Amino acid sequence: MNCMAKQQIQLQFEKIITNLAGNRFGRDTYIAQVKGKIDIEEKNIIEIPEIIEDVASSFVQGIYRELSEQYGKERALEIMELHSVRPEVMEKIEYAIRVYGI
Amino acid sequence: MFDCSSLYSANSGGKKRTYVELGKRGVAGIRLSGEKINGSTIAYLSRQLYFITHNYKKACRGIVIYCEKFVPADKLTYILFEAILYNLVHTYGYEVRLGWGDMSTAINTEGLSDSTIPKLSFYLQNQELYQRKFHFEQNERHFRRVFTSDQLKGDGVSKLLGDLKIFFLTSNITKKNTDQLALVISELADNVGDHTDADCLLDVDISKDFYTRDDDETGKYIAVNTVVLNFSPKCLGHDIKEKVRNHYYKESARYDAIQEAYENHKQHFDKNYDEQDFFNVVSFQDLITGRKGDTQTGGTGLTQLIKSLGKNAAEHSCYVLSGNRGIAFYPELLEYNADNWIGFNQQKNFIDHIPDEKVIFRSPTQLCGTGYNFTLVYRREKDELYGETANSVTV
Repeated sequence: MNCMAKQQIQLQFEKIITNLAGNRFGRDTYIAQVKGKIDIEEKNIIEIPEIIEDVASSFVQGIYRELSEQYGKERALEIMELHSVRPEVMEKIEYAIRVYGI
Repeated sequence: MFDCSSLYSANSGGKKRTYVELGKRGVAGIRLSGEKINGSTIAYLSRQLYFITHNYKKACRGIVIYCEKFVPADKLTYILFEAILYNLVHTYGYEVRLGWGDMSTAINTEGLSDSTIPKLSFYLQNQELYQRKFHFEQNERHFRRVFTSDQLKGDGVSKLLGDLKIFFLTSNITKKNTDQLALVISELADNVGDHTDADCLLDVDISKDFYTRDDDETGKYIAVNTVVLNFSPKCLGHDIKEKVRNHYYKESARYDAIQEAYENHKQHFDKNYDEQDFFNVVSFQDLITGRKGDTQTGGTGLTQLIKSLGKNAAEHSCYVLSGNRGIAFYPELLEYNADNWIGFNQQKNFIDHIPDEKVIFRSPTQLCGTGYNFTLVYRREKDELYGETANSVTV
């Protein structure tokens, strides 16, 4: 799987949003901004805007929900990867996936 | 509209007889006795109000409520009381007067002082201010919002999380703990909004930080008290009960397991644990939702977060009430097993075992909707001396 091609999808939110939370919001974000662009044959890197300083586990679970329902949790994580340039946000995402799952 | 009228009919008492005399000028009086304002008080008050609103209607112009002791048992109790007063004034248009012989608070009810209750007569003179204060507040110690279900859709919960973090910035609690608190509170609002279209009231207060504990001579303690409340015709486990009983789901091993658990739990149903409790517990299961046809949503986040909150706090008292049944959250019982089932029991086994006895409780108040009451007590982080009188921590 490491040799999968990569494509980037940049998420966009209102400028006043600095935190991402809510299972429903995660699901809605996936449908509105990711679903139409995702290629399951590639690794899809979902870029979280730099202004976002915190990502709640509920948002992570929500954004992965449809993919994990369709392809299973492991495959969903292979297909899609959340990414932020902020190390502390990456830590929170990784923690959320490790502890709470998707 | 945040409307608690359903409390009156739900607590009308059925065959229990009640009578409230309508005095001169159409004024009815209600006297509340007892050492505390608790669930029984709210049920009694609601029953009296059902009689008044049902029988006298517009013939009643004013209601005078007198409490011998206004000592609320917890935050949810006084928030319900506050909602009732607001409803009588704004929905029914009654002239309301509130009196009390003695009013006192504890670490878990300190927020009462900044509610509309103690200054009701002032707010009755300033209706616009009353409406605003009831729906919105943000100061150093108090955070209040009333959301419509639309406001909690989209990025509403994300904005709420940001607002809560700002609110907690000035508190004497570590950032790690307040960040967790902000997450749990926003999760609760998301959870409530996901299951109902009713408006949602959120109230958070931070107590003063001079409370002490008998077993800690130098420590000072501070509490964060939170209520998330909605009045919805549906109780917590209502939708999931309909879905499971009527088989409103596609083929799913997970929902079949719920059926299996139901058969096992049914054998233990009695006055302390019944079908309503079972479906309330089901509503916290991973990948289970009350929405028809939707087989896999939900998540483990909320209960996991509650668990971590409880573990980091020095004292805690957290529960959810829906109908007249409640679930108390004990961190040690909020463990999911390998298959992501939460049993609320020491066996960590939802399928075969009912929750531990201390988890399920019955309330004298029938609440149409869902109310979360969270009290978390923390040891103060900073060491400044405030020179205020110390009180004991009792949650």
